[in-house]
Amino acid sequence: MIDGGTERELSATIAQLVQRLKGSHLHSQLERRAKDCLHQPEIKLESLKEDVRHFLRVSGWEKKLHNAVYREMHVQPPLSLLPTPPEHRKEPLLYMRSAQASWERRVLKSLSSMSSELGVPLARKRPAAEQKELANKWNEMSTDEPDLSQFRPVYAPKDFLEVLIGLRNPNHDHSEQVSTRSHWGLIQLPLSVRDCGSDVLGLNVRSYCGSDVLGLNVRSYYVFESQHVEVGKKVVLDQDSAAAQQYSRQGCPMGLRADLWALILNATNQAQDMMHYEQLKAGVIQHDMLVDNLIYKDVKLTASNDDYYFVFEDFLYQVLMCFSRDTAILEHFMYNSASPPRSFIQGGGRGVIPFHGFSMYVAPLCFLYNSPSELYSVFREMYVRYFFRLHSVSSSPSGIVSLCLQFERLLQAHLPQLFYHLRQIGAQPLRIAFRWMVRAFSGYLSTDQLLLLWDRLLAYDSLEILAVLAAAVFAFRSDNLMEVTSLASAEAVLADLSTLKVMPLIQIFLFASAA
Amino acid sequence: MSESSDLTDHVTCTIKASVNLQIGDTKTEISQSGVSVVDINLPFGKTVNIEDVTFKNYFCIVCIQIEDITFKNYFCIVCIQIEDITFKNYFCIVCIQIEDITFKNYYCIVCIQIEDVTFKNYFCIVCIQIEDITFKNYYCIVCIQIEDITFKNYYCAFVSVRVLKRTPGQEAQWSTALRDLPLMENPHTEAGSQDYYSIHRDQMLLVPDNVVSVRLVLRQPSSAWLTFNLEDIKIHPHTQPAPVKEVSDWLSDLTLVDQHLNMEGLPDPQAVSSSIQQMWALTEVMQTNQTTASIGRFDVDGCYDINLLCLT
Repeated sequence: MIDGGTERELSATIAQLVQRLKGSHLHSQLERRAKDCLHQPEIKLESLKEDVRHFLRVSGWEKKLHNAVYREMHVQPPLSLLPTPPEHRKEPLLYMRSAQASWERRVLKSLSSMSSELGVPLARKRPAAEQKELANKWNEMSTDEPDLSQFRPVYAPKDFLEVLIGLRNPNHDHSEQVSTRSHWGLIQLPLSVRDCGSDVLGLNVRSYCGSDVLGLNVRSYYVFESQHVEVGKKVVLDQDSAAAQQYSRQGCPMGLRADLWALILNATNQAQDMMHYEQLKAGVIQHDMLVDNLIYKDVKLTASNDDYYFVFEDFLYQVLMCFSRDTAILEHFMYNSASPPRSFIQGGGRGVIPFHGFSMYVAPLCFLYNSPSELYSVFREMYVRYFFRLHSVSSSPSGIVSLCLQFERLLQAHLPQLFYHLRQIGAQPLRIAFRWMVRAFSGYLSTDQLLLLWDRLLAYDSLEILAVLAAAVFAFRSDNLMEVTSLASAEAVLADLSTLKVMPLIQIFLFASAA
Repeated sequence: MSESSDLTDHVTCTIKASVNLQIGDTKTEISQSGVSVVDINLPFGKTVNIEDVTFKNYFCIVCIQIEDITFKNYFCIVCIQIEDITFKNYFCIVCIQIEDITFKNYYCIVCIQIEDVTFKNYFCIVCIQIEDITFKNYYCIVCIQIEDITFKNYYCAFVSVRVLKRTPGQEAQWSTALRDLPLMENPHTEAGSQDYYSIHRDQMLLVPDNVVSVRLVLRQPSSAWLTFNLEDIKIHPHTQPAPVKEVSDWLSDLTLVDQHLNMEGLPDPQAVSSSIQQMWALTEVMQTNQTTASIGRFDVDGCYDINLLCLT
């Protein structure tokens, strides 16, 4: 996000934004509208500039431009006038960059060895008959039962956790003895995280005055709800991204959620988006990729077995296979510490190698969007803004490393007895909570609660809420956890989260810890 | 020279062969010190009041226009008042535009106030206030005007900047340009620990001109780190901004070249704008020539003849 820099930085940022938006479809649409409006009688030559601007404002095009600028500011890191090399902009810390690079090499090696073992090429062109068959079966790919027993996921979250546990800063002094300041958890990195309950998520809990923070006003719930819906309708009508984001801090009504999320992410579903989706679909039909089999396998293992999401199996295939071929996501690698694997691209892939559970990022969205192109558009935006951080090594405050550290610090600060007990029995809390956070709780919470959680994720533009929720779950079940004596029984206590209500849990945790 | 005569009559003196002075102790190698001593012995028994010394130069730097000079020196002192100087110097003391100088020195002090200097220097202290300077220097202290200092941080929490300024005619003085600039938000955590920074002259407490030396004081109060320092330190000199070209807005718009224009199947803008201009001209004409007469049909062969319309 842009911060109050100097004049020079501001004008440099503006220039960068202009450059990014200049070649976009929105730009050409604006130009076309501006030219069309010249026919209008109220446009006078003397005040041409103001009249055209006024026209654009009144017809809602200026609002679209606002939303586009808002999106760019959220997605791009602030421009630096200094000659920082591009890898520094992706990830400033050298040891994190090296760790990410070596992890990527391992994953790629695993993928290549799978490819050579099974004799399946990374990418191949489909013969014409196969293409036709796939095109016919596009909407019912779930009925296909290919033999996937040989395929296995490239990696699972717990493999990634081992990598994170092994991260060490070479310049950090570990020689200090264990003290009150030392950290009991698995992540031993000196990252700065907000571990004080009162300033997590930027909420100033001390100034809570009883009214609706995070969406619960207990006193007049029903009045609040209907008012809330009315305001929501106005926000959707107004088509303003920033307003939608602010509004979502108190949760989105179910009927308006789809529109609000699309607005916050500025994920449009216009003709060019549908065309882009069709192009990707054509790409899927023409070429077969090894990754497709992995996607198949992943969906079969996770979403198809889930009570809530099995109905969306077809959608998941469509979206994920198109996603693996989309070049538009390559630009997010500028601020992602990961890099698209080079050989993978040559083989026809586009850069994101799915892991076990990847399809769960898409599954909850199927409840909101029933048109594949819109679903795809929203998922892609959510991926390039948030989800990519959950499986790459980086020092970003929303990155998975910081989330793990934040979770552990919150737990150690507010539930030290529980943490100590779990540590003693060999059940480090992160080993249980990691899988929740990597999937953003998808598949663990019930769907309506999950969507409420993701409302806040979009509204606060930060993944920190995942760490807070994980700590809150532990706090909620602390009595039971104090009685367990092994990792297996601790996992059993925390196996089923489907009955939990997310927002009350977070509120109790934040306010109790602030007291 | 005899004082009784105005004629340029010179005294016969014995001029010894010049002795090249040697640098260092090595007797085996005669290294060129660039200095040689010419002893001129005046005729025995005569004392002479010297009016002037004339000679033909052979790659020698000479004393000119001095009132009084008493020194015992192995090196050459040259006092000159010139605009341009190009020389190759070894252990040479050049004092320009100064009244009095008595010192014993092995190294060269050059104080000049000139615009352009190109020289190859060796153990030279140069205090200059010039815009353009290209030189290859060894152990040279140069006074410059600093534009900014850029560096890459490595776990340093605070940096203070001190500068040694030398104003002409005064002693060089250390002063603080910036005190405790925070580079890391929290000295115990990673944020900002490996970032690139720039300290611009506007951020400094004093104007960094005539700077001879810069000292960066690094502070890292946290015991969490093994080492801390700055890398890639670069000092950029201040250049006068180029004069702003006075080009009016519309002219600069015309010359703007768009490199990244993505025309997604739109008609050519030039054709569109010219057609719109025609339409606009038409409407303007119509507006100015309002008549109550009804506009009859002017179509010829199913389309309007533009000439007919314009004439009404």
